[in-house]
Amino acid sequence: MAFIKGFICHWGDTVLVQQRLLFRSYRLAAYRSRRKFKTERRPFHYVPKGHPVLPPDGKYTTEPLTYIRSGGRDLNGKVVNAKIGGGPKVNWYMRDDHYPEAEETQGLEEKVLRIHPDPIRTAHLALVGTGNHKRYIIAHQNMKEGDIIKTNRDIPTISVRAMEGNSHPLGALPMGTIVHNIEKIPGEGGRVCRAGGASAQVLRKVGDKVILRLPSKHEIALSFNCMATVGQVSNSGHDDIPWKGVGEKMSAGYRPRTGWHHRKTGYHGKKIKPKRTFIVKPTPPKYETYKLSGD
Amino acid sequence: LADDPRFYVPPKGEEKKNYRETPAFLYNRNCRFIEGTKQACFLTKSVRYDGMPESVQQLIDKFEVPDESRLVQKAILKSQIWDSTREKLPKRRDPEYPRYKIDREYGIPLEKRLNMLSFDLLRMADTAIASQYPEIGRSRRLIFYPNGMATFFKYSDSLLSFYLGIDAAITSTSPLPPFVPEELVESSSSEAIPSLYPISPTIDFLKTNNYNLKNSIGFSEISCKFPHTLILLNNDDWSEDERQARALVTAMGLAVAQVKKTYPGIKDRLPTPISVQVINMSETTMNFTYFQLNTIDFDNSEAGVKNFVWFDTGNVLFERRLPQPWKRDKILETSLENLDLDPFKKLLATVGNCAELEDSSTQFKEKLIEL
Repeated sequence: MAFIKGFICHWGDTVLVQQRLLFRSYRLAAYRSRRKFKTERRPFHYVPKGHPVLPPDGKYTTEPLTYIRSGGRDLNGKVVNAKIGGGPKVNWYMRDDHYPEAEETQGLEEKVLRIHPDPIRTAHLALVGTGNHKRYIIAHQNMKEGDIIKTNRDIPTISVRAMEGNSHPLGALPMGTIVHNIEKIPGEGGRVCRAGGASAQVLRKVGDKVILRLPSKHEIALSFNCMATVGQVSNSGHDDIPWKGVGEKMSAGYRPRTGWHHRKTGYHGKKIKPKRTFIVKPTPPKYETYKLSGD
Repeated sequence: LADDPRFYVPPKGEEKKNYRETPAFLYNRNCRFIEGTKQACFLTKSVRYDGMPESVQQLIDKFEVPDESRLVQKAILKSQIWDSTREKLPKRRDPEYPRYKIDREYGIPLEKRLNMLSFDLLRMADTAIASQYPEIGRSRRLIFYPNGMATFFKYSDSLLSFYLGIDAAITSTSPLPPFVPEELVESSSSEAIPSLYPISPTIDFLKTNNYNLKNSIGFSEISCKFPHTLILLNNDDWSEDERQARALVTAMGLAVAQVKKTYPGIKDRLPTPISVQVINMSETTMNFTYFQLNTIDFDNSEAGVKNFVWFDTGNVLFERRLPQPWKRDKILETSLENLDLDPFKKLLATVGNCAELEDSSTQFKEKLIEL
């Protein structure tokens, strides 16, 4: 058997890929769960709060799955973030952020069956079904049981009247619509604005691209074919409720910080600098290419 | 390396047993209908009525049990308090104060409570009916935990297979007469069933490629082979709507299994309708369903004759208040309150349905034998 030694490198604020030390322990479930967790480029003391145990099939299920908390521990078993630890045992639901395929001009209709809060995420969950398939999606602000939701992949010349809950490509929406669960690359699945109360606004269309304003007041240009759903994400006031004390935070999974004074850097404090102006560069022309056969 | 559990790969569908190429939808006792009775009515192509049918409602005060309230109270206390089993009950969190940690309790588990209460009440009902019609003992049987009920049929280009789970069944030598005369059956073709668009009623079925198709009534080799009533014990925490939907589908499955045996090859309307009764028992409540099968053509939900369903839900025998130790009144023990004897009378009426016919038919048969 070949042992691959792991190494950790730090350059500035980023951490490169970590390879774990093999065969550290032989417990089966822990072994399997740790093999599936890989780190990517992240800030230094970043560790997720936990990860779910996905089914071995890899298929989509609506059943609740177990969620294993990290406790601030890294792949190597050491404490990297001391402010994470504890918390209740919760169920993790597979949420489908991908947009389904729809027929032309007619679209796909789905019915809302149940709405309930998510124990881990800030946005609420909605059970939705068509035909013989059920799935969980993000619930928007004014969703009720019994609503019917449509997805359309057409881009007509006249912009579509945007109803809450329906999903269209960005090229079909009029200017000023509020939108969530946006795709960055068409076909990849929703990435932007999935947290509770988040929403983006469509500003203008320039050439081949659509410009949006994100909740951090950045502007972004995306292609016409990226899908998005109309409306604001549910549970918008979850930030405004203050914590009652340390006990409530501890029972939710946050550990207290030290009382020792730490030096404040440019990261702390209010951000006053204005954002850069947004310029859309034209796409470069595509030259014809020829392949030469080697004789 | 082949036996190392770290590198275990579960077998695919093709390697498991009973693999077929065309997929099928399976129904089980644990299938929870998301739309409830509306979905079940659309599947079975049945028109819905609330309440009991007239032929059963006339029998409510006919059968009497002497010292009714005392015997019912005795049955309840026997199952809830007097029994001597002591097991660890499951953990409990109250929705009123979910962060409070309630102490672990020891007592009688749910299964045993249900079995004792329901079978005690059934026994009392049997004695009450046998006091008036003594020949019923030969024309009826009570079977506990019957096994092997299953059907299958095609539903709009997909195969459905039903495996039914029943806790007790009353069977008789003669079938139940229909609840409704034939004129209303023909006029039902004009009534409409509410549609389920965009959902199909098989959304909660399990789709697999490994299945076995089977059509059988579990108790066909004995003389009493026609089902009279079915008894289901609700061991789950489902809503009343979902329990009634389960009762409907089990009644439909058993009726279809019987039809396929007596009239093989039939596709549309039946010459004589088949009727089945179902009783749903939970800890404190009882639900009744009465189903009448007129057609087997479940594909067309608009055209043709329809089946009939009567639902009677929410009959509460008694209330059971659980302890809430954080309150100032100190509700520290479970308390039983508000006894109501109406559901017991309805139970007598359903179990005693068409007892006259069986009594007279057995007397007639015995007189023939004597001659």
